[in-house]
Amino acid sequence: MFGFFRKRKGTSKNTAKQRLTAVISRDRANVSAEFLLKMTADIISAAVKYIEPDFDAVSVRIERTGTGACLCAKLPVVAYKQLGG
Amino acid sequence: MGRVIVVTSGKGGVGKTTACANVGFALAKAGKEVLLIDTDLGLRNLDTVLGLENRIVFDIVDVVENKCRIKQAIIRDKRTEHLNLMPASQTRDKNAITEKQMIDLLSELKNQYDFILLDCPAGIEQGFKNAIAGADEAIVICTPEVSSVRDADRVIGLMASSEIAHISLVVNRIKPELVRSGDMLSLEDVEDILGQKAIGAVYDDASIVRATNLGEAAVNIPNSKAGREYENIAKRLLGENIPITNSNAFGAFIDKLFGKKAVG
Ligand SMILES: Nc1ncnc2c1ncn2[C@@H]1O[C@H](COP(=O)(O)OP(=O)(O)OP(=O)(O)O)[C@@H](O)[C@H]1O
Ligand SMILES: [Mg+2]
Repeated sequence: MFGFFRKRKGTSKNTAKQRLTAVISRDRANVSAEFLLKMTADIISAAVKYIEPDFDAVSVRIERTGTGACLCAKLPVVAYKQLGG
Repeated sequence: MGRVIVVTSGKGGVGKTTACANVGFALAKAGKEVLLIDTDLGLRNLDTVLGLENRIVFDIVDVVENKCRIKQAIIRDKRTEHLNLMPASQTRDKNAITEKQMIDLLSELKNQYDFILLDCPAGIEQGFKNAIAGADEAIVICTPEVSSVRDADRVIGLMASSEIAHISLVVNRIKPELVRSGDMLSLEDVEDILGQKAIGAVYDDASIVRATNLGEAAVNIPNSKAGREYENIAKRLLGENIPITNSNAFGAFIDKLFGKKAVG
């Protein structure tokens, strides 16, 4: 489940980008690290019932919209799953 | 009516004063009437970066306290006709001026200049609040580092609930070789993280250090890469469509030339 938070592509700038995206989302929403982690995990675990995402490209972040905020989840689809079974 | 633009960053030492001096100089060279106001009370620097430190008599605090007329606290740069500086006070602190006083001062000056650039102090305390109070637009400077980008996001958030209608981003001190080796955030990374397109991308450049030593603006140094980019930022502020050199694409091109594999 939390494999998503592992380092991507190994370069230090990718780690920086990942950390920044998370910390800025937290700053923007004024929520704890745990909140964001749990929300991200829940969103991904709901999605994987239906799709197999490209875990290296998954991002869940809070973006700014003027004075408000928007939860933006990006889960590139590698494959769709069969329902039922 | 002139445009009042605050140059701010949150984090200190990322290049606000340098950008203010250079973009201001470039605008003046383009024929615009420019006033630079140093709002970093107690830590004035814009005067030395511009080499004007010996000409100061009165400062912004003297103006708001009515110890002199506004004109007496404005120094006209002799190198170009259109550049003017109102220095900060060196002996008083951030609380010597209120937001109201700043707004009143700017509304009095606004119709006399095409551009008023405010050099903002680091931080988000009273000095920052004063500087953003009278501004219509902001330039946010950040370097491609974690703490600087985070602080830039914070000030962008704080300005969202102010009168500031437009925010431009400048990414400063980019080191292309580090970007290529994957050890520095690229311009595009910073844009992506902040959700904001940049108006300028300035390389880390030794000519800035030299220019600052001399009290000369980098825009006046012919072969200064950073100087050229500050000039481009001024042109973009004036509405010219000058594309930003893509640090990744350029790096990839160089790497291709030398037969290396491109990164990022
Ligand atoms: N593009 C650049 N390349 C190399 N050096 C730079 C560049 N931009 C700024 N610097 C250097 O970084 C230092 C800090 O710059 P500057 O004083 O403009 O930052 P500042 O944001 O105004 O700082 P403060 O928050 O203390 O007011 C200076 O020594 C300056 O010469
Ligand atoms: Mg400064």
